[in-house]
Amino acid sequence: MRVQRRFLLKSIAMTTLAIVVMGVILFPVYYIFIVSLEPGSTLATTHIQLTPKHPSFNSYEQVLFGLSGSTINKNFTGTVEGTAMLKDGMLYIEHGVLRGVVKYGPFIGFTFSVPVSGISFKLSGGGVRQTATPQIFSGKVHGLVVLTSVSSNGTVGFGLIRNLMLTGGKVKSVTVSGPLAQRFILLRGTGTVVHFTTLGKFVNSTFFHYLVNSLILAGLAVLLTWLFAVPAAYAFSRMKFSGRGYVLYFYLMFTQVAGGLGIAGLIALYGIVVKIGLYNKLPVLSLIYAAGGVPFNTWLLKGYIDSISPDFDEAAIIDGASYLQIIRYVLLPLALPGIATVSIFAFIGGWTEFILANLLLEQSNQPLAVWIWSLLSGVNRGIQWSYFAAAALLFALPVFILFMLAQNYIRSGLTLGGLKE
Amino acid sequence: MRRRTLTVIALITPGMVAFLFFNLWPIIYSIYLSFTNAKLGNFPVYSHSGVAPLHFIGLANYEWILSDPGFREAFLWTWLFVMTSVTLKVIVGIFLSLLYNSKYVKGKIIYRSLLIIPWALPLLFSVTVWRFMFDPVFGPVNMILTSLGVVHPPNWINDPNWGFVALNLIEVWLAYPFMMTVIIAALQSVPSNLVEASIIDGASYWQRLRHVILPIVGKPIAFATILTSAASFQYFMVPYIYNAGLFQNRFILLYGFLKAFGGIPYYGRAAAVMVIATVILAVYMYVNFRLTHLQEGAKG
Amino acid sequence: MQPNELKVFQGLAAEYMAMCPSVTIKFEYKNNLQTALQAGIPAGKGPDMFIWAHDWMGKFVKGGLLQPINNLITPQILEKFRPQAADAIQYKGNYYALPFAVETVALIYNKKMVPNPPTTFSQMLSIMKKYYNPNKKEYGIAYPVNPYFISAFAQAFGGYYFNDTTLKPGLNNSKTIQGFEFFFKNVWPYMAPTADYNTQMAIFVQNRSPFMINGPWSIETIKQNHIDFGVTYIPPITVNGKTYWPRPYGGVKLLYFAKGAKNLKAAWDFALWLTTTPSVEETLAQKLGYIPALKAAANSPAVKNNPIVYGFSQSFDHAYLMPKSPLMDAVWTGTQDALNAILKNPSGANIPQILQKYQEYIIKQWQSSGSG
Repeated sequence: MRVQRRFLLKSIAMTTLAIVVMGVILFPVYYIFIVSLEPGSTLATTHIQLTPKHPSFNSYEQVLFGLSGSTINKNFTGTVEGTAMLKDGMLYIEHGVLRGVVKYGPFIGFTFSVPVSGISFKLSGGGVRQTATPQIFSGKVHGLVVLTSVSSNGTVGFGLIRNLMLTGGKVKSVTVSGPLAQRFILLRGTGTVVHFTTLGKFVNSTFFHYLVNSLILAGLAVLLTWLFAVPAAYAFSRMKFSGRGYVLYFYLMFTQVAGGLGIAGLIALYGIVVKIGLYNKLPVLSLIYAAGGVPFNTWLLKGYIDSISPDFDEAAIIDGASYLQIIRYVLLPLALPGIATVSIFAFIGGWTEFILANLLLEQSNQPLAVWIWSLLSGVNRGIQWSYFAAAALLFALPVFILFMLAQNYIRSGLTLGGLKE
Repeated sequence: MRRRTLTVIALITPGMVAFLFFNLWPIIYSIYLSFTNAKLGNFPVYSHSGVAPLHFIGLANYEWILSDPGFREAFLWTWLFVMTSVTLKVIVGIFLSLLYNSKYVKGKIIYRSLLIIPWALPLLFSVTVWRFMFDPVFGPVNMILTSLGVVHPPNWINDPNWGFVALNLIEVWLAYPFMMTVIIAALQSVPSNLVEASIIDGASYWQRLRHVILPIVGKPIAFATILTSAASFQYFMVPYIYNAGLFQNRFILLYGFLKAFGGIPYYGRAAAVMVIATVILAVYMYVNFRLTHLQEGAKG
Repeated sequence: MQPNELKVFQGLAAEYMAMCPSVTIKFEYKNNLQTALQAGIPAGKGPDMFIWAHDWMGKFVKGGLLQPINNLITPQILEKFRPQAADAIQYKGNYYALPFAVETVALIYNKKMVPNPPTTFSQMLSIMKKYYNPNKKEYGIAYPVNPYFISAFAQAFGGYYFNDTTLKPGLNNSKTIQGFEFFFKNVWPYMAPTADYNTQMAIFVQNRSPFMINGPWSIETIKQNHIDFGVTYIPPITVNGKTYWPRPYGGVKLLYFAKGAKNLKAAWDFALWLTTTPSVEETLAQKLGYIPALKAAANSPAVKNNPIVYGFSQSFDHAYLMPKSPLMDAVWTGTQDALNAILKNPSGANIPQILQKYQEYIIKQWQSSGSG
């Protein structure tokens, strides 16, 4: 009983200490969070408020759902109805409404309705009658909607509909179908309104687009790092071979150099990448990150593997295991904390790197880090601090989540079974 | 023997080749440039604007920077910064790692994950926020100091010495996630049966720390320490954002770059500064690694 | 460029594309624009045009990165722009860009505290004195302190940081010294003693000062904080019967033509449309608070009735165009260092001595980098 009480008291004391220390260290992060909740914030303030006066998630909304400047190019299905005439194998729509739905998987992304008049379809199939006067008409359509600029309330700045195909239209009792006769339907100035669902807004937001880029970039960097660093670290730690020292020192020197590319290095790297035609390709950048991290990650992992007692190896050898088996069944589990750590470094490196990404990628392939950097061009000018704070915290969120997940692997990788003491 | 060499080559080559391919040429190019008169007007494009075309000038760039008295002052101050900041970083790093790895602390995983956030925030943003924290009139640091009774709180922004202290604190804040990650992973890889065995043998916390834990986690910690001291040595972005002019004689890379880009951008000289810094670092790292026997493998 | 600015430009580009469907215009962010251009243009991957203020022109001409458009510019086109804007697009006799906006700092005042803006500096001074109450964290004026912002007063008496013609810095010029001393004797004492931009912004938007010196980029934040404000020129100073106008540095935003532009004619057509169509300039003014570089737009009723744009426009009339020479970089850092030195002890600093020291420092910087 007394031991349990002592444990509990110590636990409370240490946990409190841990929370207090964390509070002190993370105060700037908390401050950033407060700034993100107050649109119109100036970052600096004469009066520190620990709780915001009028908290609002407006900035987060703007970041996550703001459709700033990405062209939307999506297939849609829908209906068209109104009054139309049949004449000479064409269907002329007098007045009508074209409604379309764009779906992402099973979920609706956005819908729109366009008043149309004067468009016509080239009818396929023969034996189509004429109508003397406009008749009621309805039909199913599908096509491509291109939205170049949409404002936040859904009005279309610039957009058009292409590849429109009518299927199963009915005029009186006649079934008609066929493609649109015009090249495209212009949406500008027609009073078209686009309605986005939350999902639709998010998926079409600038943030989401760059988020996907970042995930690919960083994820691939981690995979490549495993490929490069894990075997090498094992070799440096467990095997003796001539030249080992030299390679180690070579790597050592270069842990620092790859990180410090001055403008000369940048221009040189840009030159090679362009020359071999690998400009503006995301996987190439992952490769560069993984390659640049080889010295550091190899060394780090080697250090962790060093701390795994060679007795395990020997026990396994005695049991008759081959090299590969030793690596897979003995070392890998024990080295999991090390590998998880190296993975975190590789991920963070790929997630936060922006200099090379800015130089070697065009805007559509940019990761989040470059986008965030571009917002910072407004420091001491027109930067919206609240928007930026929200973006920065959202930027840090995936790292936070990943780190939490990786904690499971950074537990002690040791199951005590096989070592006789 | 043959098979073993082949195995070794197979294990090491992928990483090595990838690294060399993307990094060798830029490094060689930078070194080459440091021996030329590359500046705005003849690099990267020669514009006929009165600047001499690109050509070798031998060691002129190196002489220029090494003979500059400001360079020597910056050199000494940089090492001072390395010493102070690294000491702080290691102490804080170990303290935090032990605290957030302790079995008495509930909710460790959440705290550790929250504490990683500073690492993922954009540097320019973090430094701007810290700059505000240290603002002499409205910054929270001075506000707290005045409320504690300090009459003349220091001017963290305009006084070079207090600013130096502030930069140390900022660097610790920026670097602790790195230290914590490395050290906690190392602590986790200490076999718990060894720790338990030593408890059974009656060892106290400090004895356990010294004789069981430290030898095993010593290598990753030493590695992290050396790397983080290299980061301190190359401190450039943070003082530049914080108050470039104030610190130009205190940080060697900052000094070098401000000098090189002082008139019109002189890329050859900037490259020379980088090369010198890299050479100094390489020597420093070599010495440290030898001292800590980090280059040795697991078997000796 | 912030997202809200980009949106407006993309909307305008969409309009142009609707007019000329064969043209596609793509806007791309590029951070660290200077490096990206230095790497990209020689490699043939540069843009056709890029946007920046005019003070980069010297650097970029020297770097061989700009395309002269002398054959496309005509005197009629030049006539359409404000004189300073027309001057801004040329360097050493060659033309490289088209201007679409001008900007400078002006006096922004809180209408609740100051219903009628001051028209002379002495009026401004008495208002500042009235509101200066540091114990309650209230101040006479919010003024970020750095060479760009201070230039209004530093250059008021005829002083200058740098002379684009003689290529000499003017920090130790007696008139420049007079300007600095004037600022630190008559403005600084009524400010919160910090140079930080964000802090000074906070002071103004929290209603803690009646005035702020800032540029059009700050209007969005002021609006978000629901301040009823007005914009006017920085009022003239009268000393010994003579009137001096504060001369802040002014910038002209340009569409530069990059060397090796693959679609020069198409780019030219778009740029000409953007910069010389009054309705376009007016859109930029209304939506973003840009001050038009086009004479016709600047004098249009729509702009004249926009009190914010008009106020900045008035201030720009007295602006001193930022120098284009690549030597200016050293002058900026030198002046910043001088300000830092003064700020160590603003009330007791020996300003003439400090300015003399940094004048020499700038010249030394140039010499040591081989460009003096």
